[in-house]
Amino acid sequence: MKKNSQVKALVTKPTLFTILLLLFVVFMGVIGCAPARSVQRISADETEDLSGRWNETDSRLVAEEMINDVLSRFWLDNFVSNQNRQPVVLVGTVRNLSSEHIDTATFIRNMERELINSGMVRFVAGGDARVEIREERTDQQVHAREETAARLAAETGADFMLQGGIRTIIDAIEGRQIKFYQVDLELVNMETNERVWIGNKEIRKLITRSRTRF
Amino acid sequence: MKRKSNFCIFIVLSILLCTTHLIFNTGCSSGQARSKLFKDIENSLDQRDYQTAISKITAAKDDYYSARDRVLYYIDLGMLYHYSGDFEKSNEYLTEAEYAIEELFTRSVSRAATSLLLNDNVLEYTGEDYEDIYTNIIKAINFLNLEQFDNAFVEIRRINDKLNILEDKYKELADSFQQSEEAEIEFETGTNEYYNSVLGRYLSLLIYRTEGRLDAAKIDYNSIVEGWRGQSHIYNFPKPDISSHLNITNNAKLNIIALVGKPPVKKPFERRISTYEGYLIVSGNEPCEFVHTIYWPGLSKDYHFKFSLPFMERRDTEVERVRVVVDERIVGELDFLEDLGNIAIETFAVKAPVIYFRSVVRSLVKGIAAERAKSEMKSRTNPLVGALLGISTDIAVDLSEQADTRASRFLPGKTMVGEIDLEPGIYNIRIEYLNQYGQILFRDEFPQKQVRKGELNLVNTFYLN
Repeated sequence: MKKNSQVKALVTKPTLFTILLLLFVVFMGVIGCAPARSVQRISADETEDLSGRWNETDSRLVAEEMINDVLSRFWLDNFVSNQNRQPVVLVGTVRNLSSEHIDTATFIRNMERELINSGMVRFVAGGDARVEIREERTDQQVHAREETAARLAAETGADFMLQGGIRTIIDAIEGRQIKFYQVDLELVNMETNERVWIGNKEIRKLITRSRTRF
Repeated sequence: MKRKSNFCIFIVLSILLCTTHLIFNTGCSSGQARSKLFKDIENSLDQRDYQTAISKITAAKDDYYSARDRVLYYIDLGMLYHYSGDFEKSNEYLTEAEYAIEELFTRSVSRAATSLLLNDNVLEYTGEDYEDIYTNIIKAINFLNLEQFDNAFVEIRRINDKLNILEDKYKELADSFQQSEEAEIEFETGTNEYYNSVLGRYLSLLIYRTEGRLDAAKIDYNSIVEGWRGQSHIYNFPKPDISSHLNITNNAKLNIIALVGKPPVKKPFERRISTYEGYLIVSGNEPCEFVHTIYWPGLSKDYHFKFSLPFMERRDTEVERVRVVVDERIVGELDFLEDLGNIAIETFAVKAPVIYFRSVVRSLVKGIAAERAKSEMKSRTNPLVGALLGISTDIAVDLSEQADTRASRFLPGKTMVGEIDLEPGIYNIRIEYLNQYGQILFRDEFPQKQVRKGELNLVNTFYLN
């Protein structure tokens, strides 16, 4: 026998207490609780991990760490000493290869911000922003005064492109779930396809389900 | 003396109140009215009148879905939006369903020890695993229609994640129930033999192939083949020959995914408990002869109770064949790829021991408590009142032990797929559903469909009868 507990008492000689207890439990389940909503303002820097999913804090911290890493490696010094100028970097695609709908646009935006603010590289727009700018520039050729229209074919070409992906592995046992996020980025020389930097950042999140006893 | 009599009446009234709440508040309407509503919605779907079907569901939210049934509401509505072609709305509701399933299951584990004595019907519906997995399947199809391949892949990976932890999650739930003070008996969950979603792999193959990643597509192809080898009880129908999917030709490829038939249902079957000194016997006749002896130290003899258990049952479709007609020329037929009924039965079997264990403990504890209360009432109140309250208690206890047969209503029963090689161009495509006699049950028209080389040219079609 596993336990010699209340149930035996209830099954053999139920007391008023156990019956009352039983009814209370049944009632609590039937009645349920109406969810009360309250709103509390929190700082944008404050970390609130509600669901265990990838969130804005993860995006910001990973972007900061990875950009710090890429800017501290030898490729940058090598380029500056060889070319006598700062490299021009373009952030390409970061593919979501995980099992969560991660907003990679936010992550890319965070990396772009870190790159620009570092002052160590020059940065050119890519993706949809570049398409929109090109459309506007083409439009200017027709509609803007000649002396004010932006020149065609005068873009700054990128020397390097940063691209990568985010993956997840989930493991769960006995009420505990570990989410393992892996962000892989690489910086590729646009002219030679040479990979000059490969970075990797891992985040582990342990999600524990609480258990209560009556 | 008077206090004790009042207490007994309180017990009976409490059980009656609980039962009344159970009957009238879990949906607030009669079974007949519910059946009529869903029949009406099915008719609207048959007539492709999506707006009516959707508005009927949303209008029925308060009357036919309680807060406990929100998972069902989200799945039902998400499926109706999928059929209507509003893939973004469908994703929105199916995501709500998925998050609710995750949240409610987590909550059910944390409350397991304290909710052992509660009937499943009064608990929040946490969704069946096949429903959970199919939210991702349908969302993946939605994302393919929205040409968002990365997002479709997210859904496919989520299917794999869920299948990987399916067995563990019920072990965890079972462990939590066994922490309850009332849990005198030990039990184990079923084992999961469903670890590879062939339909999920098929969608993945289509994406990889379209992206030109043939090696990855080949891995998915092998996993599909493995589905028939390693899960022959789930994929117990002829394996479709999809090897041509990996061939790259100069033609464009038209891919058809057809959802057919009705989803599985849960049917209640009665079980009886007879107690003896130190043990009890659970027996029943349906769906098959069943006798189970459980040793329960300290148990008194001569109590007889009954309860009902839900059993998953697949539903057949009248569709025997589905053929593809392009510009009035029959160009091929679709193949069965997945049977949701089989998946539902397999995955439900993993948690069935949890339901059985809870039902036995609950029926026993509640039944014995009611018997004791009835004896007390008979001895302390007017005999007529006591007898009437006793009968009411018996009815209330029986009703409160009804099986939880909640399930979503608009998932498909089966999935069929096919691929047609065509010259790139614009075609009038018709999908014809035929019964076993070759009679056409339904024609789904896709006029002026653009078919491009190197792209995923997907046709979604359904016939849910």
